[in-house]
Amino acid sequence: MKSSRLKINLGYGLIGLASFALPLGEFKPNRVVKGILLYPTDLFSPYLIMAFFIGILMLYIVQMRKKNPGVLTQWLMISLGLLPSLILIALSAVKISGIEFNPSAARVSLGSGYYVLLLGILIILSQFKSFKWFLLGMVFSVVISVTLNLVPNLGLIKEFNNVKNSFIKAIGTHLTLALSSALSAIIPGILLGYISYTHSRWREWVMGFVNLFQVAPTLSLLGLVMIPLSLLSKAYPILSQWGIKGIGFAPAFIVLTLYCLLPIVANAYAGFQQVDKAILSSAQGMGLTPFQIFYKVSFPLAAPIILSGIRTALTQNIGNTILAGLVGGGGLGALIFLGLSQAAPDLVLLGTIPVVIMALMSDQIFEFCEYKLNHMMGVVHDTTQTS
Amino acid sequence: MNKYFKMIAVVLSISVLTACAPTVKEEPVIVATMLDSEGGILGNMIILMLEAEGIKTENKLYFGTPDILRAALENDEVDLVVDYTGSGQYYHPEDATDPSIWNDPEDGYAFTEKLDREKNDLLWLTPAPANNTEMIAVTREFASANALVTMADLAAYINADNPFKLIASAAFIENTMGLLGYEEAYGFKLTNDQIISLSSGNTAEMLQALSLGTNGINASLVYGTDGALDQLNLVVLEDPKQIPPVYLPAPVIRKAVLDMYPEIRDILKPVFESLDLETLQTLNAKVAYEGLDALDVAKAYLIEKKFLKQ
Repeated sequence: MKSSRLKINLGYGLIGLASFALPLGEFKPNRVVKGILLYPTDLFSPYLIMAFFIGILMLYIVQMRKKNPGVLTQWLMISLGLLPSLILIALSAVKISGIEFNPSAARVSLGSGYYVLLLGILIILSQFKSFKWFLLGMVFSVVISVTLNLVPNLGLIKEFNNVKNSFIKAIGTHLTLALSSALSAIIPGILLGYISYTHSRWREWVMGFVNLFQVAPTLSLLGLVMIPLSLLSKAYPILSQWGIKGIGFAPAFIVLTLYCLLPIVANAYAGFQQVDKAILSSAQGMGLTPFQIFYKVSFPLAAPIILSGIRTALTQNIGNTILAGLVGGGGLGALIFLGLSQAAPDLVLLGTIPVVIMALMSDQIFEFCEYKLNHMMGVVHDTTQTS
Repeated sequence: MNKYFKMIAVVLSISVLTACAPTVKEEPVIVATMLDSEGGILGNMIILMLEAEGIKTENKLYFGTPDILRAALENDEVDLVVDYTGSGQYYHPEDATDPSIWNDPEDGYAFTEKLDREKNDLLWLTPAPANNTEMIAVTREFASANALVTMADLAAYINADNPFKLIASAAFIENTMGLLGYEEAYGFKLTNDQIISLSSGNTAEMLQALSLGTNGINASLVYGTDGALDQLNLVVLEDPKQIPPVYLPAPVIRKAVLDMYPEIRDILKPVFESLDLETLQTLNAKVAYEGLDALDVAKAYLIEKKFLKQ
């Protein structure tokens, strides 16, 4: 209770800070020059003032009604979720007088105040059970305002319009690369984990091997892999016909796979380690071969822990795949590096947002799978106990 | 259980095989460029022109950094790129013994063209008459306050122990035809804490840092075709001794591909010949500073110059 009050006070503090001290956005006459900072007090837009006061009022009501949430609270939460996009609309509609600019080049970027305000609201509302309705309202209203073109002057939207032809393709390439490289690390990862469990002498070697890739900087590893690959594909043209070349998909794929090994191997090892030795010896006593013991006993019992290793691997892999953009592998990294090279933070943000969303989604999906798997394993345990 | 393992193994091997299988293609020309606004504009122009003449292309624009792009071209991963004549000094360092050829646009082109044709089967097509060379820019206020017009003025300013900080790419700083050449020719020497070195050669971020005065930066590397220096309130210092090489942008194509489509040479020639320094500056400014789409900018230019019909 006490920590929740502290969090609520922190949230109000952040909202206050954002409302009076920090810029909500920045109006830029073009992509590069320093813009004019926009504070909430500068935005004498009826939208914003209204939204702000209604928001505070609703927050108050929601907090009052905390004891017994009902349908009204849900609707209040959903309407509160409209606030972030109302501010976006107000920012996009801002009129600047006194300076000359080309309307097609001018844009509004989000400022620190916007993010702090959002953070404050999220901290407060996450204390309530009906928080998910707020998230629903927020996502829904942002999607609506983007699709109905209500925020045409936002920097993010301007950058999106420039790259929209390649955007979906970039997401596709990114996902393909991240998923395929993580998938191909699964079987070798589990086997390496099992070997280091059964042959304790090899454990140090295996762990040292996978650790090596984790500590080597990704970029330098990419550079190292590219040299032998391009030599190989030059010596054997058939390889380059299959798409194995020194540049592009192949080096990125290899490096990402190597990166995925550590979490999978480490978790597989821990998973096999925690299997009760008594179960193993009874399996042996029943006359199972080592291979049968592996896939009938050890592997199913270690599966939940192995799965959480795969979860870590895939989630970090989605972020690591950005580096493929540097070696012609494509994906969202290409957008991000283009944004960095052109000093366009909105383009960098545009490339980063899908990466974050994909990583969160993969984490959630795996959490669900882990839950299901644990549930299933629990049932198995019960039946063995009762039978 | 055994069945499942076999099934998984079969599915995995099939998916691996299909991913690696050689795809039968109609041999489109793979066009790739560097990760910058000029790469986007010139690359889109090439694609638009080739497609208009019925040659299939594959879009690999914004492929990667200059060294990656060059390696991809040499390894037949891409077919047609935009490169700069002065880069020949890096591609053929053992033959580039006479630095004076790089100060002449024709000599530099002839040198790089000949060596790439003979050694790498790469053909340089007609370049644009726009020298995208490396220069040093300062803010207008800084130049007028300290009466800086040429590099010699800057050398005098630095030698008088005035505060100075330059932002540039590592390649420029360590090059005898870059900063080292400037230092020797004009007689000044920058200390390490007067230089901010970036690994990439993208001037957009350098010029932004200069125009905002980040970290006390008061000079920056700038390329000849960088646009919107006016809007950023920057001026370029004159270099009467012409220290850096001449960099003319030109399409570079693999011989095997040009043999297949010999008409590419004549399709691209008039377009590149039309791109003089001022034109490229204007087009670059539209993309890098106004944030317009490189494809739209390229298309509008080609239509305006009647290379393309609507």
